[in-house]
Amino acid sequence: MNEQILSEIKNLPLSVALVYLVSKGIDFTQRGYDELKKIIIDKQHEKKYLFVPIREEALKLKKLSGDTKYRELELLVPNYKYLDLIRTGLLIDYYRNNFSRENDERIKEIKFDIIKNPGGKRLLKIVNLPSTIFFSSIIKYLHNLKVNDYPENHIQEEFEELVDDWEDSSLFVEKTDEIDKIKIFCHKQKEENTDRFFILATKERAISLVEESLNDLEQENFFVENFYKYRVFKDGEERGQRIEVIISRKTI
Amino acid sequence: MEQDLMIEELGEEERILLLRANNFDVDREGYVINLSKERIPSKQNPKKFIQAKFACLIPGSLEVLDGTPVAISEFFRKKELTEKE
Repeated sequence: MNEQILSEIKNLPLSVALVYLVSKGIDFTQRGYDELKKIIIDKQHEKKYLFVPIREEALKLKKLSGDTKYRELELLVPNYKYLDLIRTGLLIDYYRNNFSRENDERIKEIKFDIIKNPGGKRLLKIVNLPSTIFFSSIIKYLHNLKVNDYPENHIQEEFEELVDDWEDSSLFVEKTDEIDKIKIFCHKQKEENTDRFFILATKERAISLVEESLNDLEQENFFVENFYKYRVFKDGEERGQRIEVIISRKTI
Repeated sequence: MEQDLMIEELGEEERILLLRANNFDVDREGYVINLSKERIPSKQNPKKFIQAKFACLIPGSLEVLDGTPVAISEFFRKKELTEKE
């Protein structure tokens, strides 16, 4: 019987050969299959196989190495311990943007698996970061630190701090908000002695509110008196309207 | 020239057969065990043991990986680093 099976699987691709062997009830825990085992191992070494639970997901993860944000972060903090969680976070972001019941279930499974790890709560914060609207602001901030010659370890420390406190140090302005909300947020950051904070808006009226509040704060001398500098990044119609303001005590 | 990586999916029985061909086995609860009958811990969480249904065999090594997105991301990142060098 082995001779026939040997000749059948000889020219089959590895995965097809394995399916064939399973269909024939072959069990490598039993004696007498050394030759078959050897053929399987040889086939495995002929090509660089990576067998994964979900092929499409693994292909997506591979492709994410070329994602602009991931690549930028990898260049800015190449020794960051949790780059793989960031890539996983980008996968989750992809699932979220391509909503389906299966993708939603998969997001839950991935997160459940992460939270079971030691320090799971913090790991979950890291994995959630790429899905937040502030991820690009954080990368811009780190990028500007690099442009201004801050050393890599300093950039990494900043990133690690931001992973923990970006929610407290960022404000997303809605079109129904008032200028005072933005100004109160900035004053609160100053009172808490925050070194850098972020303001973001994506709707036309909200963008105007941000610009007006920056003018008011300028006139109040808020930035000069509190040693803050700020940079405004504004996208036009093509990529969707968006304003990002990074306010920092560092040169950015 | 370096061979391209072939990413493939296997059913659980085929996966177990391949693990067994590589001198691993699977215990009654579905965990991968080595020749010494010890369960293999996940690198990401040493308290978690690798289940056969999620196990990945690393090409060119005898290492078994927990097939989570984080572990697979780590594998790709290390591979990409090696290729850059």
